[in-house]
Amino acid sequence: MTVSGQRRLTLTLSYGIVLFGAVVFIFPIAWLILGSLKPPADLMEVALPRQLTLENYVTVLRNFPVGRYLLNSLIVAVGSTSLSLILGGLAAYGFVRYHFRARSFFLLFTLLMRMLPAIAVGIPLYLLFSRLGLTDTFPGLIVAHAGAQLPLVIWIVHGFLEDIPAELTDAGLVDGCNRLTVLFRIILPLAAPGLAVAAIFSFLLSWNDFGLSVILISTPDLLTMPVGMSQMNLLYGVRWDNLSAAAVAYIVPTLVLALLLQRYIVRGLTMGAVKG
Amino acid sequence: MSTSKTTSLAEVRSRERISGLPDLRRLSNASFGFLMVLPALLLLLAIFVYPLAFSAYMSFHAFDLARPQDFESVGLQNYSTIIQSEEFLRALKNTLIYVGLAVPVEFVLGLILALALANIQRGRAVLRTLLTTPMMLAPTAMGLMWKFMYNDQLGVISHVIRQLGINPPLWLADPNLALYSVVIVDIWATTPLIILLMLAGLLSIPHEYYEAAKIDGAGLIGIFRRITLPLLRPVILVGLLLRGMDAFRVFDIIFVMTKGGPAMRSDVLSFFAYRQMFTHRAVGDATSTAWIMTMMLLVAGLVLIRLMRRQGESQ
Amino acid sequence: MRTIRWILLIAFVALAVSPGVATKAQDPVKAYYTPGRFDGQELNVVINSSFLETSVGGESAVEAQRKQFETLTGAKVHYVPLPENEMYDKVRLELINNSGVYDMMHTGAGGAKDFGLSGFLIPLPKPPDLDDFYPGDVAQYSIGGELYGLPMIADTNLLYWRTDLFKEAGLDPQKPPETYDQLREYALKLTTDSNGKHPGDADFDANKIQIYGLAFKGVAGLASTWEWYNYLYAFGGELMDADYNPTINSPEAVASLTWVVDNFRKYKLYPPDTPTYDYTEFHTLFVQGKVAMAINWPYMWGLAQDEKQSKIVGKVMVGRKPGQKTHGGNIGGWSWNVFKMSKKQALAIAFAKWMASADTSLLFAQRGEGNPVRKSVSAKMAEKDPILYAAIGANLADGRGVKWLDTGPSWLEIEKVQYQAIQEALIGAKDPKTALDDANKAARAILDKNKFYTELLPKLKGQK
Repeated sequence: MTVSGQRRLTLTLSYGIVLFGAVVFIFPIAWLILGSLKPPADLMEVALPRQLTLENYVTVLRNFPVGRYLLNSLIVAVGSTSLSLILGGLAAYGFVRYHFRARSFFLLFTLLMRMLPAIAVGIPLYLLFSRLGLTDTFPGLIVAHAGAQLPLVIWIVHGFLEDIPAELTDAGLVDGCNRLTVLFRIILPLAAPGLAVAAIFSFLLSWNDFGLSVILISTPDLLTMPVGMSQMNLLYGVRWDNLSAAAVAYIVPTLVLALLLQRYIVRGLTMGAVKG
Repeated sequence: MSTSKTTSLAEVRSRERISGLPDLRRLSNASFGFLMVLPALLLLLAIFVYPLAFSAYMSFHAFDLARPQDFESVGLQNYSTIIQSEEFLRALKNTLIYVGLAVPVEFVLGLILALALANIQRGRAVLRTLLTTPMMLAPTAMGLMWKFMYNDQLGVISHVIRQLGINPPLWLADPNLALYSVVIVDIWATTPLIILLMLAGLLSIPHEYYEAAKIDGAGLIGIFRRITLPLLRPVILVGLLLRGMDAFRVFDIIFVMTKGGPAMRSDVLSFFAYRQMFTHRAVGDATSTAWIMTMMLLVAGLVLIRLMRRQGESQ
Repeated sequence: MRTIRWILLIAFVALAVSPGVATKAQDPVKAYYTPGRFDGQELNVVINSSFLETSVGGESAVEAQRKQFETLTGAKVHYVPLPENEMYDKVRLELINNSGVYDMMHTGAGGAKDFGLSGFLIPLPKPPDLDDFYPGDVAQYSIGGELYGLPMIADTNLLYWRTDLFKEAGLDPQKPPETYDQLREYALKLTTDSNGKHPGDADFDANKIQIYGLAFKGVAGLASTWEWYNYLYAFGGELMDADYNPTINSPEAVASLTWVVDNFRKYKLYPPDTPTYDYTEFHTLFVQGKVAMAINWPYMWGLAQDEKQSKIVGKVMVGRKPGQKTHGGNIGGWSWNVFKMSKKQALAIAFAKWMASADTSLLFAQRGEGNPVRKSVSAKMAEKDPILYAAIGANLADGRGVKWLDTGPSWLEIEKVQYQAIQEALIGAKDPKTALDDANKAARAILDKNKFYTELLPKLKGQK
C-alpha cells in the first residue's frame, strides 16, 4: 500500500473509532438531557419525548438555589486547583530534578493520602477543622480539596517531567540561567501539557467532590452543587425530574469550562512544540 | 544527574545578582529541591497528619459510638478479627476483581481512543470534548442515571435489548452480574480521563522522533512499539498507580447503585469499612479496615514506583 | 331592677371569660409559656431536608411554622437541613463531642429511643391533650414512661389498587382483598403478559409481562424490611417476645417471608429486578401504571393523583391492608427531640410543642406533607378526603411500632441482618427458614455484644 493509502486507512480507522467512542460516551448523557426535557409524568417512559418542556428546569430553579450552588462549586474548584497546581507543580519538579535525603519517602508520603479510604479521613478531618473553625467556610474547603488534589498533581506532572531530558536543564544552567530561570523559562513550557492535564483532573476532582464537601459544609448557602443535588429528594425516593434537570444544569458550565481550558492546553502544546 | 556543585556555584557567583532572591543561589541542589517540595508537604502534613494519626490510634482500640464510655485498647485484635471475617474476604475478592477488570480495560480503551484522536487533525477539539463528557456528570447523578438505565421495566438498555428479541439480563438484581454491571459504569465514567491523560502524553512526544523513525523506514507498529510506548511509559505507570488506587477505594457508585447487594454480592472494601463505622458504629473496625486497605495499596505502590525508577534509569 | 343585675352579672362574667377564649383560639403558643420570654434568643434545629421540598409548590409546612414561631415569640430559629442518612451521623458526632452546636432535631420513628437510650435527650413534658395522639406513636417515642419525642407526623402503610385493572379482570374495585392469600389470588388474575394471558394459563410468557399484579421493595435497605414487617405482623409474627428475645424465625415469620419469596420466585408476580427496588423504583412503576396493587406509605396517594407525575390519576383506591391471622402493620412517623447538650432547652421545648400542636399537624396534612398523628386532625381531614384518611385511620388503628427500635443503638445493625436475610431468600441463595434462622442468631449476637440486656433493657422498663 502506498504511504498515502496507508495514511488514509489509518485516518478512516481513527475517525471510526473516535466516532464510535463518542456515541457510546454521549448516549447516556443525551438520554439524560432528553429526559430532562420531558414532562415529569413521561420522564420514566422509555420513549422519545412527545413534547418538549422546560418545566423541570423551572421547578428546580424555583425550589433550589442552583446558581448559588454552581457559584460555590466554582469558587472552591478554582481556588483549590490554583493552590494545588502551584504547590504540586513545584513539588513535582523538586522530586524529579533533585535528589535530597528521604526523597523516596516523601514521594510515597504524598501518595499516602490517596491510599487512605475516605472513611478514615472524613471524621477526623471534620473534628480537626471543627476545632480550627474551618468548617462551613470556603477557605477550609479549598484547603481540604487542594490537599486531596496534591497527590494527583504531583504525580501527573512528575510523569510528564520525566520525559524532559536532563540535558536541557544543564544547557540552561551553562547558558547562564540560574535554577529558577531554568524552571520558568525552559521547564514550564515543556511541562505545560502535563500541567494542563493536572489542572483538568484537579478541577474535576473538586467540582465533582461529594465526600469532603458534605462533611465540611452544612450551611445551605455554602453548599456545592453535588451536595445540593443530593438533597433533591422527597421523603421517600428521588425526585428524578428535579435531579435530571439539575444534572444537566451541572454539565453545561463544566462543558463551557472544558472548552475554555482546551484553548489553554492547545497554547501550551504549541509552545512546547516550538521549543522542542 | 546532578551538575557538580563547585562549577554551578562558581558560575553563579560571577553573574549579576537576581533581585530579591540572593540566598537561593547559595543553596545546594539538594536543599533547593527540598525547598520546592516543602510547601506541598507542609499542606499535606497539616491537613492529613491528624486523620492519619487519629485513624491509626483508633484502629488499636475498641470504640462503639453508641457507648463512648467503653473505650479500651485491644492491640491488633481488630485487625485479626476483620481479616478473618467472611464479609471482609468477600469484599476483598470483589474489590480485586473490580480493579483487575476496570483498570486494564480503561487503559486499553483509553490508549486506543487517544491514539485515534491524536491521529486526527480536523475536529479534534470537538471530538475530544464529546469523548470526555462523562467526566462532567456528578457522581451521584451518574450512579442514579445508570441505575435507571439498568432497570428492567423502566430502563432504556433493557428496552432496546428486548426490541432485538433477546431477554435482557437482570443487570443489578442478578447476584452474579451486579458487580460487573457496576464495573461497566466505572469504565464508561473513567475511560475519558485516561483518554485525556494518554492524549496529553502522546502530544508531548516531539515530532522529530517520529520523523526520524519514518526516515529509518519503521512501520506503524514499529513506531508504536519502539517510540510511542516507551515514551508513554512514565505517564502510563503514573496513571495506573493513581487510577488503581482510586478503583481500589471505589465507593460512590456501589453505594448508589447496589448498596453492596443483592445480598452483599457486590460488596467492596470501602463500603465494608463504611458499614463498620455507620451501621455497626465500631470505629476501631472501620479504621483498621481502612489501614488494611492502605497497607495493601502501599505495597502495590512501592512495586509500581520501583518499576518507574527502573524505567527512569534505563532512559 | 333584678333583671338588670342579672344582665350585668352575665355581661361581667362574659367579659371576664372572653379574653381567655380569644387567646386560646388565636394564639395557641401563648397557652404554653409567657410571651416575650424568648426575645432575641437563637435556636439551631436540625431537620431532614426533604421536608423543605414541597411537591405542591410554595412554602413548606415546616418553614411556614418556623416563621410563625419567630413572629410570635421574637426568637430566631435556624434550620440546618440535611439529607436523612447524613442527618443522624452528623448529629451523632456532635452529640458525642457534646459540642452544643445543635439544640434539637426531629427524627424518624426510632430516633427518640435511639438517642434517648444513649442519653443524648431530655424527657419532654407530656402534652395536656395526650389522648389526641395515636397510642402506637406515643409508645414509640417513650422510654420507661417518659416521653422523649413529641409526635410530629404519623405514617402507616396502606393497600393501593388499580380500580380500572380490577374491573378488567372481573374483580370488584370496591372489594379489595382482605387476606394475604386473597391478595395473591387477585395478583394472579391481574398479572398480564403482552398477549393478555395470566400465570397459570397455557401459553403464559413470563418474559413478556406487561402488568405485574404486585411489587415489593427488595433493596438492601430499610425499604425492604419496613415493608416486610407489615406481612410479618399480619401473619401473626413479632420481632421480639416480651423479654426482648428475637423471634424472627418463628413459624409465623417464616410463613410471611415464604409468602413474599413465593410471589417472586414461584408465581412471578413481582418485577424480575425486585431485589434492587427502593422507594423510587417502586412508586415510579406504580404511578407509571405497571403494577396493579401495592403496599406503601400514604405519600404515594398524592403522587398517584398528581397529573404531572402520574399516569393513573383517578384510577387508584386506597384502603386497609389485608390481614392473615390478624390485621396489623407497622407504623413509622417523626418526632421532635431536644438535646441535653442544648443551652436553650426552654426555647427548644417551646418550639417542639409548637411543632407538635394541632394547628401544625393540620397544616402538614393539608399540604400533603405529613399524615396526622392526632385523631382530631384525622377526623378533620377525613371530611375533605374521606378515602385517604379513612384508609390511614384504619391502618393506624391496628398498627404498631417496629420493636427493633426499642433496642436503641442496635437497631440499625439488626436491620442490616434483617434485609440481608430477605435478599438471600429473594435471590434463592437460602430458603426463608434458613435465612431467618441465621438472622435471628445474628440479631441475638448483636444485642449481646451491645450489652442491651444488661444495660438498656432496665432503662426501657423504667427501672434505673
